[in-house]
Amino acid sequence: MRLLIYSALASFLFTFKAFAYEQLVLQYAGDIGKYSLGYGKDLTDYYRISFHYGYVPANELQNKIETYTIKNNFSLWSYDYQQYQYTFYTGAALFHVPGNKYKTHEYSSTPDNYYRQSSIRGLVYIGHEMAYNKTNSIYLESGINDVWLINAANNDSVDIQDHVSLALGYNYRF
Amino acid sequence: MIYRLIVLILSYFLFNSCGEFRYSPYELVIDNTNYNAKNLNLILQKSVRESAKTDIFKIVVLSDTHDYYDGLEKQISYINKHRTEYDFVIITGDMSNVGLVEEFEATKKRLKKLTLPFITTVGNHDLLIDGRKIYKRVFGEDTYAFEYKNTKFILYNNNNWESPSNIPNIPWLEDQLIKNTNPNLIVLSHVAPNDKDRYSNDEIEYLKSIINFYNVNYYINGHNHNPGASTFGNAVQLTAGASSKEVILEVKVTNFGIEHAFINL
Repeated sequence: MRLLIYSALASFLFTFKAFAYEQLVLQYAGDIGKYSLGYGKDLTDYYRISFHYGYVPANELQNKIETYTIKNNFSLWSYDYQQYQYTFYTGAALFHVPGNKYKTHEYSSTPDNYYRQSSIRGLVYIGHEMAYNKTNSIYLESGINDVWLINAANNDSVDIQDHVSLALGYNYRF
Repeated sequence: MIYRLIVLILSYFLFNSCGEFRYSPYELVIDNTNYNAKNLNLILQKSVRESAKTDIFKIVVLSDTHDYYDGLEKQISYINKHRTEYDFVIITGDMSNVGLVEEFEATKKRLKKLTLPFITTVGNHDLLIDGRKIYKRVFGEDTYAFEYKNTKFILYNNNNWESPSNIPNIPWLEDQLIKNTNPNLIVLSHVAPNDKDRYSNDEIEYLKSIINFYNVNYYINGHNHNPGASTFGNAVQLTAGASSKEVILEVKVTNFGIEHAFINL
């Protein structure tokens, strides 16, 4: 899996100019790492794709957590005010945490497909981005992962607000 | 123009006023609550207080709460409404789906509404990913025994696929059965003792032989989401059923033996 991701990242970086990245993204939190570094491109006026590598440091209970993410942002509404550009967007992401235990469990004694569990998780979010001169921007996102989206849909007693994950980020456009 | 800018800035905070900065759904940040130890202490104190008055008591057994939060809330609401009828609650595992901290927290948040003490053992889903560590911090031990009035309860982890190779710890179970001096004996685990997917015929037959030899009255398990009753050797075998089935399993210990009932909510 990791080889596949690295190959995809490398091809994204070094092939056609049309796919060359034009943005550097730094994000704090948002389910994809305590800190994540990414690069992205606006493929159209309304759609941005970015790839991220996220990292959560080890603590007394766990080893480090690495996360690989593809984010897809869709601009819903934007507004210009002097040198500031304000954009309201929505998005969907897929993220993968490598390691056998994230697919099943550490002992791996179960028969294949017993749990039908994937190490790829989904995330949906809404965000606001404020850019200055279309170069430097900060953004704030509110998202929810697939586990709690499904639980909220299946249970009246699950309050979606209890499971929202916030993200704060900085975007630099080359 | 300035007004619009103020509205835009305020909308940042309005839309993002809920939620937390979470780093990963797999991150292990969880309080060490050890509910089993605390609640077992309360149960044993009650046993000491009330043993002189009566040996008759009734408990509730729940299981497989998973992400059936609505079902669990209904069960808890029923138990609380009838709290004077019951002494405590046992949950035989699968209190999460994929072993995430947030799932355990959501279950814990609901279980805390119980007005009776509750104790648990661990289910196979609770042991996924880092669930073992989370279970340990939230609930504590998964294998233990205690005596309440005239009954010995033995709870043990029998999730063999998701645990180290010495699980289930049958020598430990047998030792607890040997030590029993009470007239009533109830054994609880998550997986059924006769689960042919997980255990060989020899293992099942050996367990059945010690259940019979030591006169276990009831064997109660979860894992199968449908509630039901059958036998395992000479013991009555009960499957508590999942919270999605909205059923309560009552187990009543009297001076004449043990009875059970499934209550539809």
